[in-house]
Formats: sequence, structure tokens, C-alpha cells
Amino acid sequence: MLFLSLAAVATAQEAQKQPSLDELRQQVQALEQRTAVLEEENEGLKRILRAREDGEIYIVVDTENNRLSLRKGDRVLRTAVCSSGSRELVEDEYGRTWFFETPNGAFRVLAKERNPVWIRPDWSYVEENMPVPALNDPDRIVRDVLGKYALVLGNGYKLHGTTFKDLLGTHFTHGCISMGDTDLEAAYKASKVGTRVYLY
Amino acid sequence: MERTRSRIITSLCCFLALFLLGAGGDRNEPDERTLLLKQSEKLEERIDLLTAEQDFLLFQKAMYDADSRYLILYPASGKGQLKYKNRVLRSFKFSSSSKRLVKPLGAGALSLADKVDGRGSRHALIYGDILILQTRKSRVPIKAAHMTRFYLNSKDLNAVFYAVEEGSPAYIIQ
Repeated sequence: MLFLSLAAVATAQEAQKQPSLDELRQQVQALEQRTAVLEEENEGLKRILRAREDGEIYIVVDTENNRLSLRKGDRVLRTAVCSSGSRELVEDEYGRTWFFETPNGAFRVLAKERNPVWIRPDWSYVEENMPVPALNDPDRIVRDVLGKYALVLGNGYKLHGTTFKDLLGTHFTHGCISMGDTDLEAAYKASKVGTRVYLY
Repeated sequence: MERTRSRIITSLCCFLALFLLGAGGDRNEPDERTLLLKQSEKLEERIDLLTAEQDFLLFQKAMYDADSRYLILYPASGKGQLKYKNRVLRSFKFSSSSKRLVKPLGAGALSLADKVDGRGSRHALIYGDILILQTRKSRVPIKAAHMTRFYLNSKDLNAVFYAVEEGSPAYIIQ
């Protein structure tokens, strides 16, 4: 009997240590409120992030491995071999220098060109030990070397075709991104003025 | 006399025992208590999930406004992404060494603490004091011996190595 009494006392003491039913109900209510607040906040954040997704195609160039990809969201639509800057330095007799590197960063297609014409810059003549002509010299205008299309990125940088197809996949350009004909056509058709281009 | 006294004590004990046993409340209480405790446990788990989700959403929002490339790593599936704002620049795979005695890797953001320029395919990226991204051939400093290692192929590591800068974050999703 004494044992029974002691057990009963112990049970009662344990019951006293536990939160009361009211306390538990309040705790659950508080947790439900916290859950609702978090759900609402997360929905708000998701809405903000969704609003920033434009669903547009974008171009990514891995200049380290000379690979280009056309992407949309998480999907890769097309991958292509390309070429980027040779990372070589050229200097003329007046001490002017040119370092042929493809820039890294976020760009946009500023213009789309069909049958682009290359206006030979000074470094092109310096590289070949030729005298540099005047800026308006018609000798500077060269046709049929940049392929059928070009996507203009600004500051003289473009995505364009090449006559040196054997060198695709290597670093050989003067900073532009060269591509094969079919890949260039696909990139040209998939993009529009304003398409984002990421070079890394 | 002695007998009567004993009976009274016995009766009192019985009464006390029954009183105390009944003091716990009505019979439904244990059921409701169990229910409430379970509900509370479930809610706490849900709050943990929502808090982790919010942390990642806030990270994504911050990175959209930032001008830095960053990594998202999924150790469970061995997949990773190099991202800029909300764009995926590169997807890659990695494997991890489970044999090593390493610090546990939790979910959340880590900062690129060091770029070990090993040339060729020997680069390594050290995040915080806990994670190292490398190839099988990478030269890894001794201080990184206790770190979790993710092994990338050399093409992926080279691309990622030059794309990120010291201080760039990597977000681990468990």
C-alpha cells in the first residue's frame, strides 16, 4: 500500500513537471502562427524571385575551355565549340600595346549583323609588320572573314564566324568569340537585341 | 485498538492513492497531451524546413542584387552549379571522399577563403575552414587535411576556378 502511495506521489510530481494542457495548447498555437508567418514570407520571396525570371534565352561562354552554350533557365539548349582571345601581347614601334584577351562579365547583344564586314584595326597591320593605313583607307574593309552573322557585344567585341575553323576550341582570337557556321547561325537565330551574354 | 488504527491508516492510504492517481485530470488528457506533443513536434520540424528554405531564398535574392559569381552545391546528388544572378553558367558533377574524418558539412553559405593556384589541373578552392573543391591531382595545403573534399574533373574545376573570386559564396543544400 505504501508503495502504491509512493508511486502515486511520483506520478503526480511528474505531472507537475510537464507543461499543463493549456500551456501545450498555447505552444502549438504559437508554433502554428510562426509556421504561417514563415510560409507567407517565403511565398513573398518566391514571388520576388519569380518576377526576376524572364524566361529568355541567354548565351554563356566558358573562355577557359572555349565552349559556348545557349541556355534557358536551367536547360541547356545547345553547346558549341568556340574560340576566345589568344592572351598574347602585341606592341608597335611607338610603344602601343594590345593584349588579346576576351573580357569576362555580363553583356547584352547590342546589334545583330548579317554578312558582317571587318574593319581592320591598327593591331592587325602591326601584327603582320605592315604599315598602318589611314583610318578611312578602303584597304581596312575586309569582307567574308567573319562568317554570315555577328552578334555585337560592344567595345569592338563580337561573336562571329571564322575562316580558321581548324583552330576552333583553342585560344586564337584577338578577343572576339569565334564560332563554327552552324552554331553561329543557331546563336544568331536564337538571340535578339538585348539577349544576355555571360562570359567567364 | 491497534487493529482499528491499522484499518484507518490503510483506508487513508487507499484514499490518498486513489486521490493522487485521479489528480492527473480526466481520462482524455493523456490522449490530448500526446496529440499536442506530436503536433508541436511536427510544427517544429516544419519550421526548421521553412527556416532553411527562407535562408536559401534570401541568399538567392542577395545574389541577384550582387555582382558576383557563386556556386550552389548539392552533396547528396553530387551536383553543382556555377551561377551569376539567377543564371546558370555551368553545371557540373563532383564526388566526395567519405573515408576521411572530416568536420560535418551543414547547409548554408560558405565564403571562398583561398584559391590555391596549382596550374594545370592542380587548382583547389577552399571554402571557409570546412570545404575544399579540387581535382584528384590538386595540391592541397596541409591545413586542409580535416576538410570535406569535393572532387571535380579538371575541366570543370578550371572553369570554376577562374570564374570565382576570393569572398565569393558557395551555398550548400543538404
